Amino acid sequence: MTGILLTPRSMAEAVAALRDHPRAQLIAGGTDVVADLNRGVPATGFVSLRGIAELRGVDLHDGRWQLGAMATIADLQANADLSSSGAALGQAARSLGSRQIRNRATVGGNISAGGAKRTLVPVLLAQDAAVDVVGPQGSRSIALADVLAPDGIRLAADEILTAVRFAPSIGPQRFYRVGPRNAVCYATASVAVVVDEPTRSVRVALGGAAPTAVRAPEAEAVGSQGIDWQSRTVSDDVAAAFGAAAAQAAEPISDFVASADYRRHAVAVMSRRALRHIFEEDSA
Amino acid sequence: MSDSDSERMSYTLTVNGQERRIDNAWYFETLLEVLRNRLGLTGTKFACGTGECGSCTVHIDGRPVNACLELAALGEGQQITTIEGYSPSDGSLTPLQEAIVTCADVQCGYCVPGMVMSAAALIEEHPGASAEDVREGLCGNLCRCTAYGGFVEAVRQVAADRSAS
Repeated sequence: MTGILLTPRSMAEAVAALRDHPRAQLIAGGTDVVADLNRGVPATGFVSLRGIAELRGVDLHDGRWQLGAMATIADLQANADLSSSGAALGQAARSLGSRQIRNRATVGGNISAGGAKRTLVPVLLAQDAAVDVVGPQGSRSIALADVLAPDGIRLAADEILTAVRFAPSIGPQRFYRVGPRNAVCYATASVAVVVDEPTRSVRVALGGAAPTAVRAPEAEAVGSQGIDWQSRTVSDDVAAAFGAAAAQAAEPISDFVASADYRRHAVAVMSRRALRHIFEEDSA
Repeated sequence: MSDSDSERMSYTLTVNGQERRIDNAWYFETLLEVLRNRLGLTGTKFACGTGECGSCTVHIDGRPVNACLELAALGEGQQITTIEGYSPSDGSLTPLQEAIVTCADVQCGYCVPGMVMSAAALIEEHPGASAEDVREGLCGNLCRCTAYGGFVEAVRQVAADRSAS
């Protein structure tokens, strides 16, 4: 086997590098890939995306947030709008890894990682996010929900994730998680709730509750219909029904971290609390 | 660094302000391996290899990162600072190091270089950090002798002094 480390400077070069070296692995921040290397997974060559400046941006384009695949978690935190205390994405970013990890781990890497490693994905799902990908045939945009797979994302082998996009919503948001400890661990279960007041709708997505992060449509209906939009309040009964419906959408596994029953219960409790207090200013 | 089709490559790193030529290195060598094994900078420690413990913390362009998770060859053109570069060259200690000596009940000492590098960057970013800020900010550094209370107090004191001055 011949090892390689390719450092393309543009997406065109990156696509060509993957075409010419099909066994090479894409490397973004490296926090996952190099950890695997240290665990003894053999290297089959790397194509580093770090030198592609166009993948780094975090900004509003035509009224939609566009997060470049190579934007780091620290880049998200440096954006005052995305990381305000009321923003679920900022809350999730703060919970991801450590300061060292957040200086390297990327949006694209987090979406592409499997299973519980995807801290950001429940939040992005609750924002109805789409992903942009580029390949030899050009670029396309797909709903994030349609590319999620248990061990990564379902793209063609020669395609590269370049950005994730979502429309800003107007209203409060929450991201809650439980994990083995408060930092530097994957969430055992997580819940992202996004309220859009102009359309009087609630969106909720669950992490650690199914083979991929999932939306909970029945809970969304319970929330959208149950919230008193006039007074901006949520009753205990509506919050409890919301939590129960969210838990119904969960099909969690039992593993060495937690049982399926624990995860389902955690989803119910976190969803209930998130909605119950969603209109309160200072409960992030 | 030029794209290479071989398993070995040569490149130049800027470590503690000096250009260091690395020849004939494996393309998959981590920055930690190159610092310790090729440059003899053994102050930066290896422990977990997965980014959980922070004992390999160095600064790249002023920000703390885990050297065990960096491919060394990708570090060209960046300012890499290790504990050897952070520490005064005359053998004296920085105020942060003095405070850790005073406050922390350091036992084995293995985590200390990483803890210092992490804390130094934290204080730069958050002068005046509270004890709670310090606990959250140092979450990427484990001390298995569990001397956390002393570390937190040391870092909080230096951060307070920094914001007062």
